[in-house]
Amino acid sequence: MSSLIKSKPKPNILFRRAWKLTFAFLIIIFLFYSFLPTAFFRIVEPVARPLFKVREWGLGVSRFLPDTFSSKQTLIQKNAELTSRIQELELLIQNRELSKLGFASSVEPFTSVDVTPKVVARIISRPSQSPYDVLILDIGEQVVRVGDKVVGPGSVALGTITEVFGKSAKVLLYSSPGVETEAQQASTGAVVILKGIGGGNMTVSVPKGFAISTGDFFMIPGLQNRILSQVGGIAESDVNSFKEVSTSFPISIFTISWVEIHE
Amino acid sequence: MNNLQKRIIADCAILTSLFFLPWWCTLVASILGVFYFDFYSEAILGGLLLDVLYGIHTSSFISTFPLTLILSSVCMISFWLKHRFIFLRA
Repeated sequence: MSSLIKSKPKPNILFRRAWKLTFAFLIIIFLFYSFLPTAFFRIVEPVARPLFKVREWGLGVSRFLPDTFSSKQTLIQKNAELTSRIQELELLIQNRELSKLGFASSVEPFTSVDVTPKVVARIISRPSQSPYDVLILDIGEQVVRVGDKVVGPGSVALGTITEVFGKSAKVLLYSSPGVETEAQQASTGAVVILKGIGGGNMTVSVPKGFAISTGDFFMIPGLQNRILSQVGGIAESDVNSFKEVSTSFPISIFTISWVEIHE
Repeated sequence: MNNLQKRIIADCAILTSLFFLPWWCTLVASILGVFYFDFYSEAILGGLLLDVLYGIHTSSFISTFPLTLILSSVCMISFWLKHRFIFLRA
């Protein structure tokens, strides 16, 4: 191994040039970031959107093709679709029941779940493809603003619109690493701050005496009740006076295709 | 197949993976490219495209372009390593 190491390398012009070019490139990116922050995505978006659509179409075909040759597969897929649909409807029922209860602690019942979506958009890129918990939506000609809320099937609150360019919009999910969201425990009305950790998961530390169990729902406080997450696990130890509650979206962000956008 | 042809094929593969494969495929392909080719600046461009396409503009440059910075660092480290170790040179 030592024979492969040069004793004292002399300064190399190419080596220096490569370093300088990399630095220059980073400085150009920084200047664009500072003065024209949306320029990059504006350039890439018109090219990327059709390609994402092709990818989504390809995924759809890849799911459909084997089923045409196998009735068993078709039944399995239909079964999966119906199971997913039942799950969505159960969530809607749960949402409505919680709305009627008004979170147990509230004086007046909350208003019913908003069933009139402002905009329906198709997801063209989702977290399995992207490194961050970000969705890219195809909004077409519809008007969407930064700050609008994105709601998934079963009235599950997913995130907020953060960027809108042309016919695409980016959604920062509540589960994105570092994102903190105020949520209300459905059964008791206690307010906690859920912290996103990626992959559709959120976490919160609560005192040991805090009443919470697996399967409990957290909701976004507001006039229109929307489920945010469901408790998946609780970790506590004898040495710690807090317990770590792990929650996740009650729907899979990796498989949903459509979302609603509300103001 | 000469080096330029190989490089063009690698560029096309990375560009395709950006849109059709999970993000880590692009990252792994870019890192391999950095060590296989001389001054593979396309890797930094790949990182930039990943950040621009899938990332969110934040108040911090580092959290807006993490993959660009990671791949730039890998590139710089590879220049140094290739300069020091003969067996890493293409």
